[in-house]
Amino acid sequence: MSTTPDAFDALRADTSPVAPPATFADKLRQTISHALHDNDTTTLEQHMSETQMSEPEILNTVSPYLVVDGAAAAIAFYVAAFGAVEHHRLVGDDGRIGHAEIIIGNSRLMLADEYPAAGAISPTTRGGTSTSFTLAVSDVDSVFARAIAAGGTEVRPIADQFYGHRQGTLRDAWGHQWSISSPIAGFTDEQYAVNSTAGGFERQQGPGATPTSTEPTSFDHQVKHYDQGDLYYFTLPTPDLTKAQTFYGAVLGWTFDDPNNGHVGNISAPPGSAHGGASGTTDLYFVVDDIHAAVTRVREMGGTAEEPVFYDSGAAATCIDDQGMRFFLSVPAEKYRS
Amino acid sequence: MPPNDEPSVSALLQLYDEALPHVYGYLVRRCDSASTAEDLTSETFLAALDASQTGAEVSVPWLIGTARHKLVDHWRKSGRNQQLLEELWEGTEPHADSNEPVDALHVRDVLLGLLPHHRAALTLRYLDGLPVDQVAVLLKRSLHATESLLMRAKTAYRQAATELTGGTR
Repeated sequence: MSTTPDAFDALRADTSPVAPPATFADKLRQTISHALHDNDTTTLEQHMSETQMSEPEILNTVSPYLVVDGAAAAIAFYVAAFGAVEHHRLVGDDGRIGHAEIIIGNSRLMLADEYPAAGAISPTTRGGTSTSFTLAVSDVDSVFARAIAAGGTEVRPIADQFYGHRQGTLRDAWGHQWSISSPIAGFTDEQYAVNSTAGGFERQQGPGATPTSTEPTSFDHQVKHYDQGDLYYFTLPTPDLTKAQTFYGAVLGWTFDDPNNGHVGNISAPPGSAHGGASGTTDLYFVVDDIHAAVTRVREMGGTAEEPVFYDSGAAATCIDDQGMRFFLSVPAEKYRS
Repeated sequence: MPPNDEPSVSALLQLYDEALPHVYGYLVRRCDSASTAEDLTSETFLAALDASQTGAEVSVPWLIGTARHKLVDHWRKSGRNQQLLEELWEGTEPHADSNEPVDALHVRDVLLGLLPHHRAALTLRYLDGLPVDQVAVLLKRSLHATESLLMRAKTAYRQAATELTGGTR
């Protein structure tokens, strides 16, 4: 078979690339880009080399805009101190920079010279700044030292802060303040709460602090399609529930939600229950579309049927057929149906 | 600072830009719809993202290999409801394939009309050109079972191709 030529070799597929629809390509690229950003643990220096390698991704929803009296010199400082990469600048005929964009790590910052007529006034002219920038790095000491060497002025020396960061603050020559910061390894959210209290603050969580988990927190019930006549549920009479769980766990791989209720959680269809007590029979629940109509039909055919009972899992009616065997009619609850 | 052992952000996006048409091209030729190809393309790149963050070397061949696994999983899922039909087929005696030329013109249409496991076997063996033992690994079957499956799939293909082209062969 392997030596004779195979006529089916004619089916070998073309391997030329095919561009997917642009909307799909862009959306997936954005997803990957965001995921990379979320899991980003790269250092400032790695970012520097990356941003120099290729066109930077614009990742931030919010970008600061700095007004500086001397934008060209400020850009040179940000490059030397923080490893910024200049993206572009717009230079006016008077030599002022009307707009410039620089990239630091994965963030874009915009800046411009003072244009007082347009309300663009730098901290130096105002006499101080009311905002500051926190620069997240993996090695605060070396970045801080480099920024001071490049002309920054120390405002607060590097120290371990109560909120779990090792941080120092400096002011640049244009009046903007920068906190260089690295997280302290092993610092926990509990420590943050304790330290906040010790400092006289009560920590109040906002809605954004609520953990949003898509993981099911409890038993994720089976959803499937049921047709009339399908087996919906069964029970097995087991005088000793613990023994039954051990046995069926070993033999069939069943897992039980709760050692006390015997509910079998991991079989696809039908779900069922091994329950304590000795009813002496195996109960079979069959799906019907209309439980009242089905109850009537059982009686018409010579069987007996109790009135339906409505459980969280659906409706059920106990029946005995015309030869004396007990069975159940059921309508699975909406949440169990697909 | 630590050495640069983390995957570069832009490196993976660069790979994405370069590899996307190859991955999508591979999948769209083998899927029943463009939307399935898009879904599997997304899954492939998200797997690449995970892999690169655990330090794996991600490349175009790695992506195609992953796309192939995603495709096999997809077939497996779509084949689940056809267990009965499969059993019917497995009951027939496989016979050696003839060397008559195969209608490769309508390959896509013919394959889409086959049972998923036949489509899977033929795609991996012939469209991808994989040796039988690799097909067996991907389909999680023994070598012998894979050879039988391929023979049945070829029979099914020839039948379907004949029906599709109006019984001219």
